[in-house]
Amino acid sequence: MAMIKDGRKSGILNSPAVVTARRAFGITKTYIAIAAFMSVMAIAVWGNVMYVNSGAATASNSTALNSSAGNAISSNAIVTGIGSKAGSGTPLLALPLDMVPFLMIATPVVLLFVYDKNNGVLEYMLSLGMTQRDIYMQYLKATLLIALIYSVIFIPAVLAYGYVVYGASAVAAVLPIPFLAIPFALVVVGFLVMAMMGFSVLQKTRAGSNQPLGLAIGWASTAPAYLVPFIFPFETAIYADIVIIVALAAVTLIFLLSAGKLIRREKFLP
Amino acid sequence: MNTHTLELKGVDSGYNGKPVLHNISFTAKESSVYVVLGPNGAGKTTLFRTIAGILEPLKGRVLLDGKDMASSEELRSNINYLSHYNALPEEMTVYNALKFYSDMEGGDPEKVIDLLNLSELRNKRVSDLSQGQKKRVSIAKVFLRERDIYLLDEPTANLDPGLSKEIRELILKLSKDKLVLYSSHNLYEATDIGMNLILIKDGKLAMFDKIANVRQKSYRMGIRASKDITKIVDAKKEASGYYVITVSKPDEAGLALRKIVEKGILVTEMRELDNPLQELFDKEGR
Repeated sequence: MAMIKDGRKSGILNSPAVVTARRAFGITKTYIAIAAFMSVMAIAVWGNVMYVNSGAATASNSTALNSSAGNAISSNAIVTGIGSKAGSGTPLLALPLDMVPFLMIATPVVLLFVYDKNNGVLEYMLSLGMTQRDIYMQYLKATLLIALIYSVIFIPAVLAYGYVVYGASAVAAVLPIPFLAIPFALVVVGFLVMAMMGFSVLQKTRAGSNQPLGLAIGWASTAPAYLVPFIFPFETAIYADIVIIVALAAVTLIFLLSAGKLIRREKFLP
Repeated sequence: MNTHTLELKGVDSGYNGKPVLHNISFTAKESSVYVVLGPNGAGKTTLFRTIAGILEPLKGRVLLDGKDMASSEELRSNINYLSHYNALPEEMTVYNALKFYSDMEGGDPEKVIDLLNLSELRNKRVSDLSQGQKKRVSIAKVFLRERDIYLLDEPTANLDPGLSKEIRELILKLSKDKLVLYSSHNLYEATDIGMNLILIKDGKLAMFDKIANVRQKSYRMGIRASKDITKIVDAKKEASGYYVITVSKPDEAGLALRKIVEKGILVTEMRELDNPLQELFDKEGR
């Protein structure tokens, strides 16, 4: 790789991850359009969560007459009131639901990987001295970059929507969720892309099914996060979601590090 | 002048643990084109992929200057492999596709666009190109960065005769100080471009020799003449219209031609009818 790197032009825009991300968007726009639609749905879900939370806060404190008092009591209500009961973590349902647009937006990278495999681009990369891990890293970085850019747009949009429609108290009440959403999105798309790149190269008969299976695998990785809010109180549920994030990150990392041993180079051939 | 030695020592290679190549051993160190011949499925592409380090040998070693290629990514980057797949990002324009590779491996896309006369295709999307045009762009990748060893798997497939000739000339120029392995099904092309022959049959090395040493013992010359020449030389007229004589060396063909011309007969064409490697290919390759 040393010799290849010598010849490369520097610059972020020419970095393999950025080029791969741009190419992924170049081959299909459909998933981006679906992701945009899903984002609107997700913002609606968030809005509901904020509405329910702010409503619960108001109900729990009949003396709260202004928004600033509501703020304090709302946060308090989650931690000490609703937050202490099993199942009180339901606002955290927004977390896995919000992953749907992230799964959509990561799918073009999986498509690009399959496309590059079938076109001989991966074979050419191997011939340049790249390892299986180098190749996986290139597509993984592109996915993480896309997810990060998307979350930087999506999360503030959600919070801005909540602030304008429901007020600062509503936003404050759900504040841990957007902070969890960014790492959760990164590990979910990372896991999805690694799993699907593995599937794509190991599939004996090229029967396709990469997109639906990829979305199903991505959804499955978020499935525990759907159950957590019903089992644990809010505070504990946050820790449970953090455990899910760490576990998914660990599985993805182990797969990446052992890619060279798990998957032979010949599997990357057209 | 090439100073590198490519050596294969008892290499078995293949897919899913099943060998396609069996016990391949040869040493190539001459700056020239080594033509890799063999029928479909003989193992030519597998041989190239193994040398390029894409496939790890199941047995044996591939050495470059005595160093094991499998263990060195840097050594592998000294080799350029042109697959018979075009390996082009089809959603890009020609320029961007070449830039995509130059960003990865170095080189100047402008230079290769000029070298392969791709200016008129520069802003076209790769997916909109014909098969032959895609092949041209794919070949352009070969010239992006200078390497020590070039592995070219059927580089002129899908190209028209004129362009094939241009590409062969470029490759011949390249081979003056580089080691080039070139696979082809076209026997005429093989004799045109190659100095050395690597013949693969059923995954085994059937022959490794200079092409000059493996020419057939006798070959057929076709003559088109204004009058019957069968009474002048030992020739037979074939349905193709050629009078055919069999000779074992060029002098004999020259003598036959002189005899015909001395009788006042106009000779409009004289050429070797079969490829010199045909018999070898039929016997060893099939």
